Amino acid sequence: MNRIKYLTVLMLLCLLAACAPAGNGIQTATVGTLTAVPGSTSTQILPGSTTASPSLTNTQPPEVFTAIANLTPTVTPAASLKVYFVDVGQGDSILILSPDGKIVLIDGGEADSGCLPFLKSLGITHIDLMVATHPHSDHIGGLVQVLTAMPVARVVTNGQISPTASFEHFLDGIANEKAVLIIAKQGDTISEGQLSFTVLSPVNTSGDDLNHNSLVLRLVYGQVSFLFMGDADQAAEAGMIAAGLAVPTTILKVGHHGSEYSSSPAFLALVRPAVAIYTAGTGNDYGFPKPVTLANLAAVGAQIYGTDVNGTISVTTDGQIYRVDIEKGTTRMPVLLLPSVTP
Amino acid sequence: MKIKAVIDRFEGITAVLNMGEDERQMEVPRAALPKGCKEGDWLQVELDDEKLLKAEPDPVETARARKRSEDKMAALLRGDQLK
Repeated sequence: MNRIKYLTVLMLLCLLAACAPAGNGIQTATVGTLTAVPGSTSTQILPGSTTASPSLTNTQPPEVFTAIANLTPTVTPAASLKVYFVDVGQGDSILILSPDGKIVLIDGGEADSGCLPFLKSLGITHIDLMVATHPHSDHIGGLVQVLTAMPVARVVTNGQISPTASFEHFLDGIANEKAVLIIAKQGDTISEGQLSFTVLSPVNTSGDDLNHNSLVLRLVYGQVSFLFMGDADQAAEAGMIAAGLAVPTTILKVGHHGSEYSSSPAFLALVRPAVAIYTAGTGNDYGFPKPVTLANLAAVGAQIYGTDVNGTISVTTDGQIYRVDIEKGTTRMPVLLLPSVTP
Repeated sequence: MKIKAVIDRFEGITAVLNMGEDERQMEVPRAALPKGCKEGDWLQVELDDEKLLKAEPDPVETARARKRSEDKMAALLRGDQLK
């Protein structure tokens, strides 16, 4: 009986979620805030506060979580955009499937890191638009295999060259695939079907720091927005702030795997993500994500997910509401709040 | 064993090297590399098992590799692959 009451309340909450104002400053009345459901592969839309939900779900027995998971089809957005943050260990790979059937791949992790098998598991046989944010092998290594395995129509880079073997293989892959190569910079718009990506950085590629020159893309779909940071550093963030491009964003792909060289408090204060997703390998050698970054993300109210603890993470949205699905684990809370962080 | 390696990237105090033909990855302290090394620089490294004994810059290979990639990028931007 209690369970029925509980589920009824949850269903009402779901309906409210579709009407409640978003709490993160995004100009929409219908963005839902989501929380992970422990013990399941799914998540549940809940309205209002992002802080209350984890404690609610964490205190429930596992069978209740399963029941909650079974409710999620009632709030799955129709005609959806789907964005996968693929678990490729220590690296980045993001797959975007548009409602009009376009397939966009941003980075592919290291070679043999699981990007291509993931695409195949979804039955994907071609890529319409491939983006290499910058030439490091934990971003382009896996793209080489994709270029070898399936047709790729267009490839976007920032134009910077790195004399590594993996970058040369990447260029060879584009040539063999006969894909169109495009160089993008700040202010450009890259359209693919009904998707339109705005390039926020770099202005131009300069210097030896490849991360700094990462392509940063913003995607707006209805009322829901995404910011794909690549490995852009705090200097790149400062450039976006100065250009007036650091604006409120629903879903943030955290820069540089949650390192301390990205995600400055000043940038996050303007972006104010409702959901922050970082990519990192479990037990990676670099200590990503860094506690200071998690604390800074939490300080702006972001619900944090990471591929190290959550596996592959997906966001589904119809442009009005969105939901986050995770393979495992729960939302990531910061280990500690450092004294240097201003709330 | 002496082998060619390229610095793929720096992650804080760590340098990530891709080594040899199979691009096997190895992480070494950045301080263990010659001063002034940059991302994308080629090295001649001497290994004993998995331990880095010595690393010397290989500017000739770096310049050669950079030129190859520049030429390939230019060809792609000209659209040579589409002809």
